Amino acid sequence: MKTCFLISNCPLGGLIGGIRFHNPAVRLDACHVWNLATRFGAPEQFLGFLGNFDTVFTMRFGEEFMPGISADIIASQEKPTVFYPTVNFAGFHPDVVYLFQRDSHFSKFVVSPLGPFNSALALYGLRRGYSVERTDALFRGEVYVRLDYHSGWDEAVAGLLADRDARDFGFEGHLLRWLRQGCFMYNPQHPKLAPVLDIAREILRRADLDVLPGNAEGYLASDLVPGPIWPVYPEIAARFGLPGEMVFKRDHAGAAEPEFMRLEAFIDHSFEALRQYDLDQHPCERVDGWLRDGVDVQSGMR
Amino acid sequence: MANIPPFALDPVVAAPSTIGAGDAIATAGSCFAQHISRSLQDQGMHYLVAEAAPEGMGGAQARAANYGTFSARYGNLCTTRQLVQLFDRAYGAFRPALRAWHSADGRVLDPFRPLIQPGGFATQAEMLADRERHLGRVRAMFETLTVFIFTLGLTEGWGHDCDGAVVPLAPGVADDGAEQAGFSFVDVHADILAFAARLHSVNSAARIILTVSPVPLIATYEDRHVLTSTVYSKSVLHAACIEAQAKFPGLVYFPSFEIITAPINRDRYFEADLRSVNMIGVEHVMRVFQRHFVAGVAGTPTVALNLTRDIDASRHIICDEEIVDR
Repeated sequence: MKTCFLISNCPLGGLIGGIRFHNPAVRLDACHVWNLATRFGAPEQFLGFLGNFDTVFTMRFGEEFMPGISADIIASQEKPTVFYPTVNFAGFHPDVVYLFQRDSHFSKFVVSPLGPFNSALALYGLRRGYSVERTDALFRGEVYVRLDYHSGWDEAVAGLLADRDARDFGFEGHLLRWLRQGCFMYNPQHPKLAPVLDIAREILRRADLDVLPGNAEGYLASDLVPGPIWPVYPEIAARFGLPGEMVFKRDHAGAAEPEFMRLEAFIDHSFEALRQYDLDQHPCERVDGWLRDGVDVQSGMR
Repeated sequence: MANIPPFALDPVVAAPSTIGAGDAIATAGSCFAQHISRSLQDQGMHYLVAEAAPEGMGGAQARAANYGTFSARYGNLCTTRQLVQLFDRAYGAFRPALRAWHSADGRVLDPFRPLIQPGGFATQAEMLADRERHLGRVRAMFETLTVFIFTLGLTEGWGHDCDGAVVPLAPGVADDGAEQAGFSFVDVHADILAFAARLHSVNSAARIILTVSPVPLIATYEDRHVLTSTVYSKSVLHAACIEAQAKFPGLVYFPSFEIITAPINRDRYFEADLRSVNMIGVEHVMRVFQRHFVAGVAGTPTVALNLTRDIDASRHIICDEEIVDR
């Protein structure tokens, strides 16, 4: 029996499920990357704990979660280590932007009704002093064309495959298979189950462990469903040959019931959230650029 | 094929000419042609409506009476034989013996477009007068269009042995004299070339674009499974288009059928009934059509999206769940 330790961010549950489904003989322990410090305290304790395992499976991360511990440091311990890629893919959600606090080195950001994900159009509406109704009217096909939202696919693919681990894990081939099943992301950072399971299988192969056959998706549910779900806007979805939605779901991890918002409610809640911040201190290069360049998103005029 | 995203499927190799702002586009054909007609109008192209609703008729009433569904009120023309006969009837070269159908409630239907008038006509004279007006507008359409898009739908229809007149629906009366009429590759191929020659005889500059409807047959009168009849029918229509394209300059086949039915798209372009094509599929078809056949690209972005910047930034994000856990 081989013992393995898994370090992951959000898709931890899916990876555990996939590894256990395809190789029940693996003795697996796992930890969210952001819980390392809480669980193990000091780097020495953690490195000592890893001595109990044959192999470590880890995403790439730096020392921001636990000083003295990073993926590279783990690999330097002469412990067999399998690096696996994360799935960041913005192609389905080109309206999503992030508003980081100036000089915070990305550690502080505007939290919208859907967590770190903000709508550029909602932000634009607020900055222009539009009402919720007028902002609602910006969410339409001709505006997406004006803002070049349909061209995001190639950039998103390039962004995904820029990661060496992603290329090594065969993401280029997987990508099209995932797409043929529909939208494979809940939001730009949370993959659905199919990509997570492909990663789990490839982790096993790279660790020279058996991958027993079977349809894992028939046995497992994604643990990312409780997280925020950003819709693929209908006119954008149509370009991908997919049905679209205008239903935004809050992160309801830990809550009993999910909360869904239609567009108007989402804009309303976004305005409310954005107003809590000093937006001069939370720049958004994209929307700031539209405003600076005098782009009238509504009419297309400069 | 497996190496491209489904939405990027574009089976057009080259378009012999493009459609410009000065072109007048007319459409006809099976029910799938209605999607093309609507989409062309939505895109603001010069869609030729030669038979417009009478002045004063409201939009809803006009739509119910099939004004604007196609360029003239001929209804669905599911077979190429109907198209050829429409042309010949319009120019007086064919005068079918079949004049009218009478419904059980005494209303009168035009057998060549039985669904065109909601509730039918009050009298045969009224129907014949409307037909004459209609055929006049059909002549005007053929003579003024610059691009004619025809969607081939079926190889099975209903015809009359006495003179070969073809009607779009099974006759509603027992003594109508209509028989099942199946069209082979030879028939369809000949019909396409015959129609193209006729159209050019009255409009030498007209270009013809042919498409094959991806909508499967709902039933067959042949003694075989409807799926077998569907594959037979679509194969005949497809082969006839490809062959005709090689023989008639100014005639081109546009592969909308391939886009909708390609394995790469699985069944995602069909509605739940697995027959009707959904709007997402139509949009894919029209996107490819626009790319190759329409001069000038509509909807140019005002700004360039820089998604890479946001993707890079997102790598630093720790989401809510993580914040709570930390």
